Amino acid sequence: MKLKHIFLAGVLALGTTSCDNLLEFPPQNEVLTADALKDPTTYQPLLNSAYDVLRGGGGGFLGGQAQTIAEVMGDNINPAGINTGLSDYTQYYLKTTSIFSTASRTLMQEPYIAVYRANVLLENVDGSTLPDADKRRIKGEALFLRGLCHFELVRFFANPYNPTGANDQPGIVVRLQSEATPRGRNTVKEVYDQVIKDLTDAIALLPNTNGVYATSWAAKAYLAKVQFHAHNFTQAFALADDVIKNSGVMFNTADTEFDRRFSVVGSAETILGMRSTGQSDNRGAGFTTIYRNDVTKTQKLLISRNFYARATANVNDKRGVKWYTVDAPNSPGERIFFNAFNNKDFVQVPLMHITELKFIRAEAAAQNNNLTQAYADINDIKTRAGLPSLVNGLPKQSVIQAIRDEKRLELFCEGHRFHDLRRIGALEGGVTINGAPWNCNGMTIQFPDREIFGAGDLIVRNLEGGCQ
Amino acid sequence: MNNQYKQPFAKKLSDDNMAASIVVGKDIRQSFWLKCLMVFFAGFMMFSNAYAQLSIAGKVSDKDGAPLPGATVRVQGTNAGTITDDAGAYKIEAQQGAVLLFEFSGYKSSTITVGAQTQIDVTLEDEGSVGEVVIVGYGELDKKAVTGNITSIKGSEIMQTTVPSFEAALQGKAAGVQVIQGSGMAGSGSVIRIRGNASISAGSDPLYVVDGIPITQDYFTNGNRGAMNTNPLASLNPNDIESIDILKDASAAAIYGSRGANGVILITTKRGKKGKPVFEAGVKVGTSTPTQKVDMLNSSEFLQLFQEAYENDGGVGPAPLPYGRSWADARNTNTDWWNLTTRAGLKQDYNFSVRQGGDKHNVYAGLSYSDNESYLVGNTYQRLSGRVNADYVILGDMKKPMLKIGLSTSFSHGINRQVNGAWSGGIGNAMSQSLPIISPYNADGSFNRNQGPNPLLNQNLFVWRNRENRSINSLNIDFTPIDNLVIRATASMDYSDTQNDQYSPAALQNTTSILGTAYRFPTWVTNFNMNLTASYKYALNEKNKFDFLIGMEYQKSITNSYNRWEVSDIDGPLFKKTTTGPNLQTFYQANADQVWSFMSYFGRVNYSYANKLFVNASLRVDASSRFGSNYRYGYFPSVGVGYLLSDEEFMKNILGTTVSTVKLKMSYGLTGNANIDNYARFGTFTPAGSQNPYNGQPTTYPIRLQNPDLRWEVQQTIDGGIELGFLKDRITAELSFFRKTNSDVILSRRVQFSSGFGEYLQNLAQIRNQGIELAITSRNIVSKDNKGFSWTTEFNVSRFENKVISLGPTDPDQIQGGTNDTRVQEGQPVGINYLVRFSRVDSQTGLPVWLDKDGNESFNFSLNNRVFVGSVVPDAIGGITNTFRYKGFDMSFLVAFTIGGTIWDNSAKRQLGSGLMEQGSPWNMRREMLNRWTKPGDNAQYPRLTRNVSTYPGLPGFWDYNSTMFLYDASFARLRNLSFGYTFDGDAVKKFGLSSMRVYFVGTNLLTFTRYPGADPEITRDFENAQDRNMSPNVTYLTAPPERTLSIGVNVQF
Repeated sequence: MKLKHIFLAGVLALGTTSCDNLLEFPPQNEVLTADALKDPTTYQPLLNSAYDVLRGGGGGFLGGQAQTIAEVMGDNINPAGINTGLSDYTQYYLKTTSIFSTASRTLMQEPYIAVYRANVLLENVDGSTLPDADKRRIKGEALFLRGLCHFELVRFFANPYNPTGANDQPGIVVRLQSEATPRGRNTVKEVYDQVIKDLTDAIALLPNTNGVYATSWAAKAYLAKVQFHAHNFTQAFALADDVIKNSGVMFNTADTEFDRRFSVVGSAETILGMRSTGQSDNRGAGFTTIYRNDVTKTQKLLISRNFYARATANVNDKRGVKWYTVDAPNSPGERIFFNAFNNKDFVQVPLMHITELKFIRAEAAAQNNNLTQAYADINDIKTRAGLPSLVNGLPKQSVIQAIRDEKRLELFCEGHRFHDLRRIGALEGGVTINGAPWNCNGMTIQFPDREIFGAGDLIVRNLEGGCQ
Repeated sequence: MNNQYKQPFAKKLSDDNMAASIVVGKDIRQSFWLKCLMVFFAGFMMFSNAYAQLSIAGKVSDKDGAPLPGATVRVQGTNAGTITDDAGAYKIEAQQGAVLLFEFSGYKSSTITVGAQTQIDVTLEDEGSVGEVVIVGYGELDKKAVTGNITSIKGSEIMQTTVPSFEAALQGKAAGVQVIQGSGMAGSGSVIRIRGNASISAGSDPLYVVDGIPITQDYFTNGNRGAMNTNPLASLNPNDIESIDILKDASAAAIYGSRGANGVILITTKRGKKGKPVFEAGVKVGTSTPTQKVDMLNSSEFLQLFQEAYENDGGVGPAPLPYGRSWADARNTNTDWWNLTTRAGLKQDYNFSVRQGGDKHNVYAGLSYSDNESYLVGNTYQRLSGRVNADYVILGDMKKPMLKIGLSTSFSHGINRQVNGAWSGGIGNAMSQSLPIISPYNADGSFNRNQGPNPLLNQNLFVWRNRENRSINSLNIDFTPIDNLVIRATASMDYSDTQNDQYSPAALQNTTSILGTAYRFPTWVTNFNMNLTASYKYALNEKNKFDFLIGMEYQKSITNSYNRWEVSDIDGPLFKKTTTGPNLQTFYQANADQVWSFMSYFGRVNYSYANKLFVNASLRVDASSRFGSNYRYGYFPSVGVGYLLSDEEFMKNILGTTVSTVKLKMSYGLTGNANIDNYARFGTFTPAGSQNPYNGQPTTYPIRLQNPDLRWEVQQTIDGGIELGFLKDRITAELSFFRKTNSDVILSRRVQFSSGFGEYLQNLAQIRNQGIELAITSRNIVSKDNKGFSWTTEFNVSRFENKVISLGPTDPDQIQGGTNDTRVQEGQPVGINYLVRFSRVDSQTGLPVWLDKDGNESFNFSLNNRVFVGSVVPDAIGGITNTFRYKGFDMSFLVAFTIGGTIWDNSAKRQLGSGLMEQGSPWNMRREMLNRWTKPGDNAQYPRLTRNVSTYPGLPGFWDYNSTMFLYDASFARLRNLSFGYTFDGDAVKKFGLSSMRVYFVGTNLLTFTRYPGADPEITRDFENAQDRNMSPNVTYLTAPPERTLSIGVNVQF
């Protein structure tokens, strides 16, 4: 029976070997969450990654796609010129999005990834050994990013904010925690309230200068935009005015702005932008992919004849001259190109700049009957474009209309037009977009599949159709 | 396992059914050793004559009464023995009470205790019939004692079929085993499901165990490249396979614990047999063609339909043709892209083997080369493989080894010349975007690059080769310190080295700035296994016998791989000697290693009472590196009972002579499925600086949440069955029922986008599979002397019900197979079609009419009206094999069939309609499209042609045209296999030095009966992951149909 003993001893020897050595194989090239959060040097890179994701894969969020979808849904694009590879874009144009629209998935997923990372920061940074100043700044930036992302989402995926009423129409899911828990949609009012709160808190926490990252001025500027879309013109005016006057970022009176806004160098008017460091780090990939038209790329969207006519109505309009060319004019095969991205391997992407704030201040001022300020801002912009100043003494609504028309021309490709049309529709009614009423069902992008089915029955879908 | 397990029992038994499985010399008749032996025995017998002994005489014959000359007869425990003469007769001296052992190659040995009788006639049963041994986990068992459900298939049956990979040959052979043939690509793998699919996100493939080693079997080591998943089984040489045993229920599979739930396929390779060397050589040559050509429109038909769509949409005059093609040029072109991308492939297979054995050793060595061209131009799989299996007894001898060492080693070198398929090009283009009005060549003879996909470009210029070197090795030491106790230590390693090489020359890239770009996707997998078992046989008394097994096992697998190597400005693929240009650039990106391990302890008791009641109980405890910290160990017990009712005296009268065998079986147990992501349990971050920087600064972010509760899926199986034999077992039948309930089924829960992360594995769902299986083997006509006419029929059929019992709150779109093709829903099978119902084509407008959720007709298409309309799971499967023999002739055919289930033709939606809506690059259409609406009053199968998505109201985009218009019945029956052969033996071949020679013809997939109008009703498409593989068989997207092969061959033995 000696052998039996040897065998038993062998079994025991193997059996008592620490199983951890034999069964613990953590993933290579990854850091366990607990270890990562313990390390104070994790937080800044984690914050960087939240900024990084604003671009979205291939420019799928603010790297160009969000802005481009807004252009396609607006009234500046020629539907016949939508490249066949972009089948979703026809749906955006026709307002027939479904839960399977691929670009909508990215458009929703990427901002929420930024929100998730911001929430991880907010939940953990106080427990780190970072200095208080860093903690405050990081929290401020996280709140800013969370507010910005929720705001961009609610504009696409929910009906616009009403100037009156409860605004209890379904908005988007507000995420204030890092969690996998399924959640239903908050109301539009809840979303706006949270965005305003996050940005307000961010203003208090953020420094006035912060390199290329968010400052208190960036938070104020975004808050101005949010209040503007909530039709709160007093707040919008005050915030925009504060930033324009006090941030130290100046309006560029020279027409170099038209070359620099999307360029390798970038615009000096930028209050917040996404920084590209080279060709392999092109934050504007979504722009260059769509609009670039040169020996290497073919433009995938064409400009509508109607918009082109407006953009070039005044032959002295420097923007019209610089930005547009026509191939086979006035023929059935006419193609109108937008040239701002030609021959650019990468560009700096401004997310908020002084020119936009001047438009916000101008209309907010006019809405508040401060036509002097409105005239001042719109004329600065017109002058720079080589256009004559706005005729003096116009009634308020005409001034407002002139500001909106100018904004459409000045900020083409930056994704404002569609959101402005819906804002104006909510404010004044009577707006149509390519012939469809501003509030037809399909005007609001359908929620992508995973946001719906990931939540069981909690998500109310947007209504479809009605725009054709 | 070895004979010594059973010998002690045999000593005390007179029942010849409880025979030991001793392998004896082959063809000992003609051996020189025979004479030596006889001289030796003669001497011995003279010596032993001093004792007063009985003189016994008798005859040894087979079950049909034919004499067995050359059988050995020995007195156990002594050296006395003799050999039967030409009439099978023998004479031997033995004492009363001694045990005579009768042995003959190819037959079960038998023992008889000498009583008062002097005449002992013995019938030996051949190894293939009742009484055979089946391989079970960590051992083997008399078939009689099996309490679980196991199907055994001989290697020779596998070899009768020409298949891209051996597992496809299991189709129609085993009840409850569904085999969906792979596509026509060389070396492609089948989808095999044992008793239904019981998982959703976790892999459902059975565990493959070769000579006791769970081998590397990941289909996704190379992802889905070019619409092809790597088939890890293609490297196994079917010529080396002795037998395949399929463990189907818990009683059989629970010994494999957390990896047994999908069933276990045990592959036993050939080993040497005692006797002089036996050589075998074979050559097989054949052709490969597609089972079905997909019938696309020709040029004039395409032009007609294209113009019609244009006019339907309000166009006037000749329609502008795609790619600016002029009508004149288009009319003058009629390219059959299918013919340009397919061919008749040539298949060749050569194999050579030798088996030999002595008292102390045995050895098998095999060498094979096969060159399997598929019918796809440029696609071929070549495999050179060798195997050596050897056993050597260090102490003792083969009959009674004390210390024995065994080696199994194989090497294979596979070269797969891959081609693009399906969505990736090649034959996929021929069925889609390559138009008949476009010529593959320009007027100057150069390749046409500008008018849609031209598969000939890749076909001629692109180099793609997958090279796999694989070696599966194991070494075991058996130590028998005392009678009946065997301690076995095994160490093994399965190593594979795969290099997937691609080369895109400058001509293909249409550039002159570089010579070309070479890519390599290398993967190395090392899979270690160590186990230690001890088995002990214990007989309490004559009737109560036990067989104990305990063991432990540790397995670890390490996968190293690169995402890719990329070398640009190089003049050839990396596997060739190449030169590089001045603009050389290299790029290497490694993947993180994938490591997993299992630590297991197991035990088993087999108990038998009076050789008619059998109880089998086992328990395995598994720990794995994959399981979350809250669930480190899984326990997997099983118990099975078998009762040989017909051996009861009281039954013998009841059953009479018609019913010869009645055995009842019942088992219950738990098994698991641990095919889950290796690292899903860990919550992790990316290391700072490893990802995209922002503003030049490092970034880090969370990858996934910690998942301490992640664990194996649990399967609870109840299995019952009855084995029946009629007319002395000329007809045998096994009827089984099973119910297996999987709980803790893992879902890759696709959480809301708003959570900010992707997927999260959770043990959430419950799935139930239940069914009935019937297998019948009937020797309809038998021949007394094996020379006359004989006819055997083997039939099996299985009826399934597969049902998701609970899924938790979820939307039908939550869990999707592949590219949005199939769904999972409570109360439905795994993998259902969720589509808008198509009602008819309106005869006035030609518009499609749909059904809304309530079944009302509507012109408005809405994805919100999708309902469950079908399932990829069949209702029943089966097969029938008939084998005929007459003199040297043999003929056999196998018809495999599937009843029920649906095919979702995801490419038809574009081949039969919406493909035209792709403005820049429209699709060609299948000829069925000729039956479309053209004018008011038409009752057509397909709606009016259009190039505008908005013509069909509500259709969001051409991708969304998902309706029952393209859903088909998946039932089919096919002549899977047909073979004719003639075997020469005796004098006819003796003069050539051969002992036998068989020449044969074999055809596979010769006839198919189906209602599916597309390529082929058996569809194993390219899959993205395990969930896709579970949910999307029977879903095609330009998948190449399986091949039809015609082969002739010759096998010789000498």
